[in-house]
Amino acid sequence: MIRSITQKKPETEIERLLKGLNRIFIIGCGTCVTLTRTGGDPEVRAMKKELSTKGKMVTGQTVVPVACDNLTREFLSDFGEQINQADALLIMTCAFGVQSIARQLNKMVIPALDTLFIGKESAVGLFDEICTQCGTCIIGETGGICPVTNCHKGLVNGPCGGTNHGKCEIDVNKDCVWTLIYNRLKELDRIDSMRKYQKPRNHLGEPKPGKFKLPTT
Amino acid sequence: MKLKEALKKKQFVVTSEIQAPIDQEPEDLVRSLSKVRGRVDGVSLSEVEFEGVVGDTINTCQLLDKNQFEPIYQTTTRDKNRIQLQKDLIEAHDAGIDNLLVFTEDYRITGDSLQEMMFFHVDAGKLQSVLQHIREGQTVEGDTLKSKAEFLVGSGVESSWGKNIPDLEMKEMEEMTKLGAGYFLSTPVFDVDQFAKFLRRVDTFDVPVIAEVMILRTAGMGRFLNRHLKSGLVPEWIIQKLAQAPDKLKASTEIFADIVTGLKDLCQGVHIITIGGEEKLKNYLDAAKLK
Repeated sequence: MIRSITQKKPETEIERLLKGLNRIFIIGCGTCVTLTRTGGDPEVRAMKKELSTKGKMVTGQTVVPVACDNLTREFLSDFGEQINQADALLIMTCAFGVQSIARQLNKMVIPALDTLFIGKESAVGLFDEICTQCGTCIIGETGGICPVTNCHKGLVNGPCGGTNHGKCEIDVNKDCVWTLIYNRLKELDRIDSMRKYQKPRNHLGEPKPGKFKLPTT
Repeated sequence: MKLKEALKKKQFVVTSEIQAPIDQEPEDLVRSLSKVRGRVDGVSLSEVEFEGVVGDTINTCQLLDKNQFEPIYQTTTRDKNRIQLQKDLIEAHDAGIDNLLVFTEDYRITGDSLQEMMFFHVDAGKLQSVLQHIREGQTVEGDTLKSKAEFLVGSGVESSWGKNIPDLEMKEMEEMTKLGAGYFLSTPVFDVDQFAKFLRRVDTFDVPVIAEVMILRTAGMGRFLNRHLKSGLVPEWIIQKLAQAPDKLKASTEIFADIVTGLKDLCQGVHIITIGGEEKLKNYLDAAKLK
């Protein structure tokens, strides 16, 4: 399942965003941020404590099942008064959740998290970015591994000089994706696939902001 | 003799890298290089940027040209998209520059401007996708240019394979060869025997290989490279020799001369990185009996 990977904003930034806003309602989410331990029930409780010690009044708190779902408005309607009393909603979800709630409630929203990437849990507690949604997918020729996302430079024609013992020059904990691609293609006996020259990337895959409408029949 | 010609005649060439000046007068740079005039086949000028100020590499290349040095315009594909690369290459050609040295360049993780966007729209080898167009007198969008531009292109390659996959690197070089690389420039060589193994494998490409040689003046420089550039790049025995030597300059020139002597029969030249010590380059050329 794809996951939105987040990390908590620095305390000083949250303080700055909440300056002048004294009554706060905190919202967490039961999916991705619970998994990444950035906006589940324990984190929401900890945030409540943190804000209280800083002199803020927490009018209420909740963890919605799926913040990015359109039904979030209905779920939050149970907290109508507590939300109405708040100067702002401090939202401990990814940016999808923050924006969904902002669209559904006429309230000032403050994100408590930064959304890092859309990824996958590769092992317990370990998350990897899988796809950057570039709009021009080439993984049919790279053994199903995406160099646009997983090469730090996004190179599409083999590794740079920074490949180092199968790791990336910028971080020894990150794999050199072109080594992974090479090994995968070798295993599949499809090394020739690497010989195909990939033209410079078309950065116009889907111009921002992305919009897609199903064709009418 | 032009660098291209010297390479064609299989001469052992000597090139060196300096940086386009930011806080010194370009004339001072020419003065500091004057001691080696006639002894280097080319001087490459890297594009240096310091606290957001970028040195004027193309102008400095022209200045070197006027002062009887053959300039090599060194550029990277990190900080420019194809439009900017195209503009710079056409400008370099119009300025009379014949030589290019191209790197993909490291991802910026230390130093200035860490938060700036990095492009890598093409990598060094595929800069040819831009060069091919301007060689044929066209822009990358297919519009006609007023002139065609041809360069001798040096491509940076990874030569210290270690535990890397040589086949993977070989394919890169094979592709660069197809795209018209004029010469390959290796990563810094400290272990000549290991470099010889690399050369044996890439000999089949029939493209000249120039070995990059760094002048290490202190043990601290070696440790810095190992910490920040690549772990294990500078062998411990070199660091120890520099650390224990009472006369650092003597030890440094000996190390340099030993490496260059070992390379003379192996490859087609050396590219000397002075790391800010171009004033002393002459001493090193003398020690290694280079021209």
